Amino acid sequence: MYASPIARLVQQLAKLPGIGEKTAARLAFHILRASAEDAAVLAAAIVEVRQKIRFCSICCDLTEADPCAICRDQRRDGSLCCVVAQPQDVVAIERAGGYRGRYHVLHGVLSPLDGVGPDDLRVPELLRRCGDGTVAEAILATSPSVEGEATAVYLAKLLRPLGVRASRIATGVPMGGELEYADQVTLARAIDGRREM
Amino acid sequence: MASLSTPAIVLRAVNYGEADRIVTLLGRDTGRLSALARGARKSQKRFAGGLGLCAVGVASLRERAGAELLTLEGFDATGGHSALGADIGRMAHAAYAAELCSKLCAPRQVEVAVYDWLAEFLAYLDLEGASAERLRVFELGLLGGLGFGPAIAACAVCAGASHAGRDASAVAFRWDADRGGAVCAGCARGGRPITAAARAALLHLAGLSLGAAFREALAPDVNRDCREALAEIINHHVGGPLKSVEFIAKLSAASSGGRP
Repeated sequence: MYASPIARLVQQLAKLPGIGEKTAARLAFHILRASAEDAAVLAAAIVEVRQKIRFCSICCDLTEADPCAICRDQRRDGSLCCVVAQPQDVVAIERAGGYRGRYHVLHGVLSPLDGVGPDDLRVPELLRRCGDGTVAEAILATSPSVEGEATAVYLAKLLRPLGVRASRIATGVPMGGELEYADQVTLARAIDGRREM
Repeated sequence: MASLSTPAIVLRAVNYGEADRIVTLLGRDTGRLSALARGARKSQKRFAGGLGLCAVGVASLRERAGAELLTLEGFDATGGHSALGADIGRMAHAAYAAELCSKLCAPRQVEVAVYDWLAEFLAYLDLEGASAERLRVFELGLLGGLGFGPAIAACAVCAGASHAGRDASAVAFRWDADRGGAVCAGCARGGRPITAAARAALLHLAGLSLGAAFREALAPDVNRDCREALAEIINHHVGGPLKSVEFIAKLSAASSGGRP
């Protein structure tokens, strides 16, 4: 049995996703072996992230300043709104470059097995944004999984009556991929999603 | 460490660690099992077509000595249910069917008929869309296939002995999940009333194929009674509420429509 401060730390670390009790204990002992300064920096970072990070009142992304940098940027095309599931997806699209519109973060997708329904997502905020006439097109960029597709279909139905064009990100054969080695499902999707040239 | 390969349906996949997933599969030749798919969130090669909800394919597995969790070495999707994501009703029914199998099927117990029943249900769902009547037929078939089928035609306790010689349609029945379904008034000690229409509908649905179920149209109140009666039986065996049922309830609340 651990001394109570260690047991408390293990218990708290084990609450993190993907961390079991053994990994939590390993992390706890790593923290114990680290310098007092490193441990204090880690603790302060955890406190700071909870204190300073909030939701952007426009796009619902995580931000230190409200509105976030992307929503404040006047060079961005406000008529384009890329709807993503998680804040990490904004980072991925920004890293790819090329997209100059704005974002909306849902913080999840509809998921029956996780009990995530429409009310658990940032859908009302999206509809409010789209209802004021500034957004002309919403690019539904949820993952091409069953849950991601269903979420996109659900949003498209809500957006159309608002006069907002709903488009879906393309899926299919990856760049540099060989058709011969593509799986049946991906290839079928690529054929379905073909475009005129 | 033995390697095995089986046609399988993905019942659930949850992210684990940096890029792994823990997948619950219903294997045709293995029964329900859980496996660790290392690097599944990054590799499109070993898990071609993805490990999404109700994906159907051939799973290549390896048993690990002393470990309950197998290793999923590859999953070749043989046919995607591409329309399951086309509307929320389809997705909700697919998730419910997967969750039911996940909760009701015993681990590593081969149930070929149950696998085929789920595969057929998903294929119809993909092709024709969600239908409450077909979902009831699926529930009845699944419960029956696993030996949990409720007594409907005759009393679960006396099988009709206590009212022998009387017109069966004149006998009042109650519904008692603890005692296995319909219980005649003479044997009843609890439960709740079940209408003759609901019992007749359950009996009728139990004899239908999944294909024929789509053409059925129960009256809303009869559908509700059938749904509630089967939900009691399912909850009795599962031991708690299903997440997918909560989801369906949330959807109904959001749309103010009828529950599937």
